Amino acid sequence: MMKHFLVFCCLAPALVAAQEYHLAPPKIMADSIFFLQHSTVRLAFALEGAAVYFTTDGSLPVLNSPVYNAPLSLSASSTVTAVSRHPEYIAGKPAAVQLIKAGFLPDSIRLLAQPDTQYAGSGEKALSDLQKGGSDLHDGRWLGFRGDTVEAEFVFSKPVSCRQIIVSTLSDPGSWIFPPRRIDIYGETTSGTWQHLGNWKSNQQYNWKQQSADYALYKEIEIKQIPARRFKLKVISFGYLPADHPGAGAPAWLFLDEVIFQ
Amino acid sequence: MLRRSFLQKTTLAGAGVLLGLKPEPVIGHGAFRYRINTRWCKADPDTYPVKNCHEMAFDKQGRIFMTTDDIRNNILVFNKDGEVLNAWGHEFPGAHGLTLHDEGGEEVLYITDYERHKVVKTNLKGETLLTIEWPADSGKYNARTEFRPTETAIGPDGDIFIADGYGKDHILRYSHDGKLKNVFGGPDVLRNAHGIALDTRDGKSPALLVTSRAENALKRFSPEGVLLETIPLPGAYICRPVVQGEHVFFAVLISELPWDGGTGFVCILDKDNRVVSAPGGSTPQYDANGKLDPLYQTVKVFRHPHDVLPDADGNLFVAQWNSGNVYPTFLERV
Repeated sequence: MMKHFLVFCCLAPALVAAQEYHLAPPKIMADSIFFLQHSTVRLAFALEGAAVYFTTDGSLPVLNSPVYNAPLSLSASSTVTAVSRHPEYIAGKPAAVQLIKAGFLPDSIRLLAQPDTQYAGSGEKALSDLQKGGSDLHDGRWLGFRGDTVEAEFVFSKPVSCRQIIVSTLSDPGSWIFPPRRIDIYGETTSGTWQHLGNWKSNQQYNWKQQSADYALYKEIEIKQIPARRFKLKVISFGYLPADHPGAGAPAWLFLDEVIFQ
Repeated sequence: MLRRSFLQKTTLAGAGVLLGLKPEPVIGHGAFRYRINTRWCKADPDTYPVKNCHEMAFDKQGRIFMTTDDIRNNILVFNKDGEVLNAWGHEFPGAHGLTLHDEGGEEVLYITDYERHKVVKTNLKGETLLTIEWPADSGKYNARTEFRPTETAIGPDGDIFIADGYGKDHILRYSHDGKLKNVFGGPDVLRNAHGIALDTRDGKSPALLVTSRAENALKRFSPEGVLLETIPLPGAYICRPVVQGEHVFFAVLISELPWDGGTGFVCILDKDNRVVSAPGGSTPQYDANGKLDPLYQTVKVFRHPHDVLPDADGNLFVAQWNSGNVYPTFLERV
């Protein structure tokens, strides 16, 4: 018995991988990250023999998840997650993109603090143009501020009842851009007074050294639903750069590119 | 006891014969496909340490010269089997660009040092023949530290073209003995002028092929500095072009920001400057209008490739920046 085992061991073909390589994540391209009706999403991974597995609910794709073969048309807020696979390589890390459906678009916006002239984008309209800013901060989609507080007023043609407001911002501490400390939302009641509807605030110590650049930082704020024609957004910036930062003592930048009313 | 020992030895011997190493994968496209060999270099890292491996060049004897910014040995000299033949240089903390030029029989090296703000010409033993300091008299620079050269190219008449890729993106033309003749390019035309090469492929008057790395493009200039053509290469943060035969080879440091994202690969252009292969990257695809789809990394063979050296057999050596102090990878053409 043992003899047969040894013979088998000796003759069995066996190959040891010299070195194994990982795949890169696939590309996820949405025609619009922010949308009113629907967004078309294309996945790409141009490697012969590779397949892209995906989900739209934010879960990690597994082997029985759908394999991408045609553009996806999404009509609800979704998180598309995709993984590349190939028999010769180790599966790639997942790529994920969050798509956000807007419920209402404001008719006008009034900025009570002006962005720095270097990052003035297309003006206040940048906050409701459904255009997501990218890694190029001069792409006209971002507004960059250096003050303590940014206030903006959003006016609708008729009263809207929002359940959630999403503020799209970014953090890139190496470039002196930090996330906000606090965001407050106010709505104008039918009697003409401003009512506090909700807020978001940073509830943990921000360790900037552990943060890499994130150009899709969304602050989702559940608010009290009241019909209102005017909403006010008050964003408190991070403040001064921390003592262990190369720019210690200088004011941090705050960047905004969109405010979504749902 | 004896029998057991005999069996163990026979089994191990048999396994040694039959247990082969699975061949490394083949990467690339079309006629430019390569088997990966990360074990080409036989150097002992304690004896011949490297930080970033920046650029490489062949001499007439087929030896490979390479710049690294480790001042324990700024220049390593390899044979084609990856053994170190020589090592020298301790004074180049920013050793970066490396151009080997045959000066009528004698081969010389041009080494750019962006940390010491100068370009140094040496013989192959490392003896300094010429030093070009910052161009104070050009009117383009206010201080020495603004000049951070990354690459050189030598014209047919021996003129020296310096790309100030980490400085102000100017291309500076010097006579062979180091006198400034002309300045062109600059930040309005070039975004991160990281590499420059002499392009003689069309058989007519030579042009300069210059990297506009942050713009994901190569730009062709006349030696006088007239912009002749822009070759858009979306997704390719190109280090330096290397012209061999009718092809252009280059390392793509990254295919998207951030700069240290590890998304690099290698690229090959044909005589019409169309991408024909992207080893480690996506299959090149052009639309009906001849526009290239953005390239991106597909297989993580490389992190931040920084230079490509093709040999006479069509194999490639790939040096890398910021990739864990690795020696060059060998890509054997299949």
